[in-house]
Formats: sequence, C-alpha cells, structure tokens
Amino acid sequence: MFEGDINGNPGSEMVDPIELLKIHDIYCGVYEVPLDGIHKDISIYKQGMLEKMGIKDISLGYVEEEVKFAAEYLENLKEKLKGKGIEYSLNDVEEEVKFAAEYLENLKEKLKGKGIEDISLTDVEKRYEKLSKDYESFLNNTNLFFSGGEKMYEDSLKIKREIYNLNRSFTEEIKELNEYWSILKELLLTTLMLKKSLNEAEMLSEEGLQDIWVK
Amino acid sequence: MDIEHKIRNIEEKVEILYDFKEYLKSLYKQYENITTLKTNLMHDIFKGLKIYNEKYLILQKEIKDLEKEGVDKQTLKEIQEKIKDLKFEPYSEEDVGIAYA
Repeated sequence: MFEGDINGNPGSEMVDPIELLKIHDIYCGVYEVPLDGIHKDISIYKQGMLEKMGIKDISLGYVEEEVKFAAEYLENLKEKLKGKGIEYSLNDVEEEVKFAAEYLENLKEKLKGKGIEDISLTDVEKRYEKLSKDYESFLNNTNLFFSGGEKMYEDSLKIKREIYNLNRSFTEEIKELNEYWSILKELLLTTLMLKKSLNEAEMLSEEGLQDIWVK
Repeated sequence: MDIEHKIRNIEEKVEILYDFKEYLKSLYKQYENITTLKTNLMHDIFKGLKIYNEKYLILQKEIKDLEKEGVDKQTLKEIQEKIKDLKFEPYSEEDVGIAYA
C-alpha cells in the first residue's frame, strides 16, 4: 500500500530491479542508469503522505500521544452525548481506540525486550543514510584502486576488508531497519485509523444531536 | 610498471571483483527478503552494478593489453581462466539464485 514506484509515486506497484535492468540493458556494457528519477523511499513518505497530513515524523512516542488524545477526545464526546440515548453510536470508535492502545502497549513491550525505548522514521532514515555513505566510500575506493595503476597489495586488502564489513553491517542493519520500518508503517496506519475514527465519531454525534433536535 | 607487476596487479583486481560480485549477489538476496526500503536498496544495487561492470570491462582490456605486450600464452590463458566467472548476470539463476531467470 505504501510502496513507491521507480519514479517515486507512492501507491504504485514496486518495480522489479531485474526487470528494469532488462529494460535498460545496462548489464555488462551499457552504463546509463536512470538513477536521477529514483527517489528515496523515506523521503517519499516524509515529503508526500506525512507532510500533507501535517505529520512531521512517526515514532512510538508520537503515536502514544495520538492515542492519548483520541481517548480524551472520545471521553469528552461521550460526556457531550450523555443521557441523550445515542452514546451507542460511539461504540465502534471506542473499540478502535482500545485496539490502538493495546497494540501500542504490546509493541512497547516487544521493543523493550530488545532494549529499545522508541523508534522513529527520522532515525531509520539516518541509519540508512550512514549505510549508503559507507557503501559510497567503498565504491570510491574501488574506483581509486582500479585507476591507481601501481597501487597494489595493501590497498586491495583494505578494499576486501571494506567489502567484508559492509556485507556484515548491511545484512544486519537492513534486517533491523526493515523490521522497524514495517512497525512504523503500522504505527502510521494506526494513527490514520484513529484520526478517521475520531472524525466519524464527531460526525455521528453531530448527526445524533441533530436528530434529537428534529424530534 | 613491468609485466610481472602488471600481472600481480590484475590478479588483485580479479580477487576484488570476485568479492564485489559476492557482495552484489548478497544485496540482491536481501532485496528479495525485505518488504520495505526496496527503492533504497535497488538504488544501491544499481550504483554498485554500474561500477562493477565498468571495472570488469577495464580488466578485460588490461588483459588484452598484456597480450599485445608479449606475455606468454600459458600465463595469459591462466589469467583468462581466472576471470571466466567474473561476468555478472544479475538475472541468471546461477548468479543470483532467485527465481528471476
């Protein structure tokens, strides 16, 4: 649902890189790769969906605040409808808020078990940026080694070490970041559901009050 | 640089490219396994593959130059044998080991 395509359009189907390789025929010989058109996933979310909704970052703390706000808001709404015989109209929304609170509590426990207090989209973005920088530096060193001519043994050992470290850190980090980002997407979904539910609750209560007025 | 020096240099480059190839293969496998961050990873795979292919072609040219410089046929054959598996075909089953072939 949240994936972006090769041109950075959120919601489009993900492009298979191998298919893209075939299309652009870049392997072994033709070098022109349309990298400029590829946007970063996280930037797509931040600049697209999140900013449009007025959300700067998604984190456990942020969603916790949202759930707290939703619970208080609902409580006020219930108070407003008290004694008017239409409180039942908020039952579904109440369930939604309860579900979000439970989900969040379980998630906090799960992360606590891993020694993590909070995760945020910005953190994941920064960590991925670091990985990319290490990778960039390895590619630059490979370029230097190949163009250096006389440079040999020591440099090649250094590059081999870099590949080894990169492979290790990339494999571990990408797994973790992938997991965090999946969680953040669920958190985002939870926030969106809460906002939607609160809007519905507001609408239902307004309609309910209007009906009473007409009667 | 004398011929011997050049040959050693080429051998080092061959080794580096083999490691590099393994690394790119591992990135492909990770791409298969993850559900998010796919665009970022795809971007990195492309960047790496572009450089890998450039270096592979440079190496082929350097080996061809050795021939012109009169390196004996046996040595040349041995070097050519070494780069035999360097060609990286990202959509072959042998190279990536995934169901893209």
